Amino acid sequence: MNVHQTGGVARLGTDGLTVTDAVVTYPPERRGVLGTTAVAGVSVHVPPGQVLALLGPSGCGKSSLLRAVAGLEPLVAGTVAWDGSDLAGVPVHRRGFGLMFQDGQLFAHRSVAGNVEYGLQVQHLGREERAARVAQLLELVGLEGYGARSVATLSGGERQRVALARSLAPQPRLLLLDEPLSALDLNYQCHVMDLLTQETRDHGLTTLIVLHDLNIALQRSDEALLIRAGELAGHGRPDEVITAESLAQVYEVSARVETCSRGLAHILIDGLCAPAS
Amino acid sequence: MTLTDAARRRDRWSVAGTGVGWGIATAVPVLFLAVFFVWPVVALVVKGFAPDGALDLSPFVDVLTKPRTWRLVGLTLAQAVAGTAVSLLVGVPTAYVLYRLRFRGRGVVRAWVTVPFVLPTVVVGVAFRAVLGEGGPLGFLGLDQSFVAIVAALAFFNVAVVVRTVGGMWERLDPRAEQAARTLGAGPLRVLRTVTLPRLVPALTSAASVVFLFCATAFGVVLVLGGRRFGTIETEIYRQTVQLLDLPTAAVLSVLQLVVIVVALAVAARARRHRENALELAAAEQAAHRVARGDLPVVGLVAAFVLLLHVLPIATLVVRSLRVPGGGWGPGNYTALGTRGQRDALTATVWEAGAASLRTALMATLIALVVGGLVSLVLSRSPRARAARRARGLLDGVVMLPLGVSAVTVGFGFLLTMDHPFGLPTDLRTTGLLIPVAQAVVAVPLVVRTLLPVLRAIDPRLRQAAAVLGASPGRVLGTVDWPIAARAAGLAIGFAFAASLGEFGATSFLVRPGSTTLPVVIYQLLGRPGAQNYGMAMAASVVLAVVTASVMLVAERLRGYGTREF
Repeated sequence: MNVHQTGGVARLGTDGLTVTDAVVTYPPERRGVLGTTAVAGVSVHVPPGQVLALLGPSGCGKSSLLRAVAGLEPLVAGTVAWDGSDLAGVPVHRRGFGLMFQDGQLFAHRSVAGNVEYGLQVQHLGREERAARVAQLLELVGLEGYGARSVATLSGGERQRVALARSLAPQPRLLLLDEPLSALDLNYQCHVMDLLTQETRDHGLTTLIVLHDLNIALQRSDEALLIRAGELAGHGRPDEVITAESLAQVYEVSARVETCSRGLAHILIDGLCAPAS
Repeated sequence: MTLTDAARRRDRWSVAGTGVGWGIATAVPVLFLAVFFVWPVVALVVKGFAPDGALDLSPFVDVLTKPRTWRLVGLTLAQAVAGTAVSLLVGVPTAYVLYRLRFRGRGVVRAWVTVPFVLPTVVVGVAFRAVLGEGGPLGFLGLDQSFVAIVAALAFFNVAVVVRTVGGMWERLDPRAEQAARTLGAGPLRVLRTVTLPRLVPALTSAASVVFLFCATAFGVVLVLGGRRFGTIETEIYRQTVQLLDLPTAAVLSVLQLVVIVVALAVAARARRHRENALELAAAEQAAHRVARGDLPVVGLVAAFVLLLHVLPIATLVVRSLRVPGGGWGPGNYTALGTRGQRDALTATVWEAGAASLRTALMATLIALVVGGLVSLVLSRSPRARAARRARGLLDGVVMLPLGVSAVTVGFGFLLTMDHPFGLPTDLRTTGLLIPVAQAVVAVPLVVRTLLPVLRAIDPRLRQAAAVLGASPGRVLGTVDWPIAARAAGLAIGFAFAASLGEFGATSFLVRPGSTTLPVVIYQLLGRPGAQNYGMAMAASVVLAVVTASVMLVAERLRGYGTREF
């Protein structure tokens, strides 16, 4: 039984992303080995212009859910729909969703600018228009003047920001981000989250973001989704989902939620839960 | 609503189109290999077991009870083992010097050592005869047409395979493991024995099995250098077919050769799997260091090997090509290439044969590139559907077979099957059209082995990233796969062209008076009496060597990332 059965699921309306009973399995790698079920019947609705944080321990199926929404993993059961229309049979490149991979997956044979403008070339944008948009995006992620550089010369954090700029460039209607903050220092973690909040507000971008930092999820997301072993363990307002009880259940850590000086909720981890007697 | 309907229809077409595209990409190479490889080989086996339609094992018993057969099998294995051993003994120190040491001119020496691999076998045979034969610089050793000569020539080719395979891995081994051993008190030799060589074992076994395969199927070299006394199963198949017209015996021998090869291939595949696993562990690090005092003995040894094994034969070949019959020096042999040789030894001038060679090789390269390119593309993807996965597995197995199954077998199989295939009104064997096809069959595995590792090294998520950014499958091919694989494609073209140009095993079965190639002409010139013909063979060999080496050096400049075996 789910611990928190709150608001989001019951919300009516079909605008935005609707995932219904999604199941993703991976076939066995060789004979005699069982396949694995990564996502076991997850349903979620994300209205346009919202930031949904995906939380859960490593290997719980967060990335698989993102990949299924992008169309990179076939659904064994369930549906993914946008604005009420089922996306089954719509190939990846026609979905208008952006996905930023965990490790960036930059094109090593293209320059920084060449990476960022890739999606714009697909849209047949003119050369000047592209250059302007690339410059604007690079500035947005704090990499102005990096356009001509080879991606091999970048640091981990710089690569991640190029990947972000690249996935923002074609102005996707839905942005899927797989741990976009993992290689960033504190300054850029704030910077990138500000940027996403701003894009969401200005362009009505809908965002699904896999996060490991619970405090960022608490403070910056509209809704949070807690996943454990491929199943929904909580969905709703972040402060309702991220609680001492749910963390004890999903992560097996004992934690306290406090309110910091600016009035924001803040999580403190004490340590592993005591083993059940 | 109509707009969404139109969009849906487009999506459906797009998905279906992608499926059809992959279907065609799989079907074209499968059909090609089925008709031009599987069928001839099956026909050959049938000919061996059932020469007149009914199962008849008497040719088998006949051949297998002849002492001559077992002597040839013994010789084939002995020269393959010896050739492999010598290639490893020379190749491993050479790999160290060329991939772990830094010195001026390293690039030139690397090219000099690795280019021989694509030199036509006939040319190498001629060069070694020039060295060891009467009047050659090492003629006093009396090694002309001996077992030693064959093994040396096999090493000439295959040292390149060892150097590339082992060197490519050695270059990437993280030197810190060796440094750690040194700090624990191990001397350089102990480090080599206890740390370096164990880490190289996968590369060593992989190289050894591939070299064994090449040595066991060597044909041109053995034919030119072995004379009457030395032969292998391969040369015997040729003798039985072309000279004695005893097809059942040749078929039985081919089956015997298939058994030897399949065993060697299985060992090679095993070794390669280990190698790929181990490569993931290795750090891609530039670990070369400058030549230190302790390296001098190895450097000296390698220099001596290279001079003796690689420089001497080629230099002798060039010098001999300039010695005109009747004594004295001059370009006489080269001007004679415009003739048909002494006493009209040939049916066309050497230049005409050269032009025909170029045309044939060009066609073969085109075929090999299309077939090999499609195979690599299909094999580089990991489809989800069970049927697609099965098709891929099948293709994977079939395509590597021609690498092992000898060119002689391909040529002989063509002779058996291509008289009036599919009810065609013409005897294809007389048209000369089969020569480029046979050369392509031999070149396809080279193309695949050059392209596939590069395509496989592309992280599938890179293609997914492009698709998420809106790129259609075709666009993904053009903007992700192609830019990364383009340089490897250049190298593959070079390999295919050089291999086709020098191909002798299959071609020698298929040439007809109207359609001959340069390697075959060189072999014919060697077999005819007359000093002029011998001189022309030398000059023609130099021409062929220069063309193949140039093609290879240009292609080598295009060398992409990733490791290859040859």
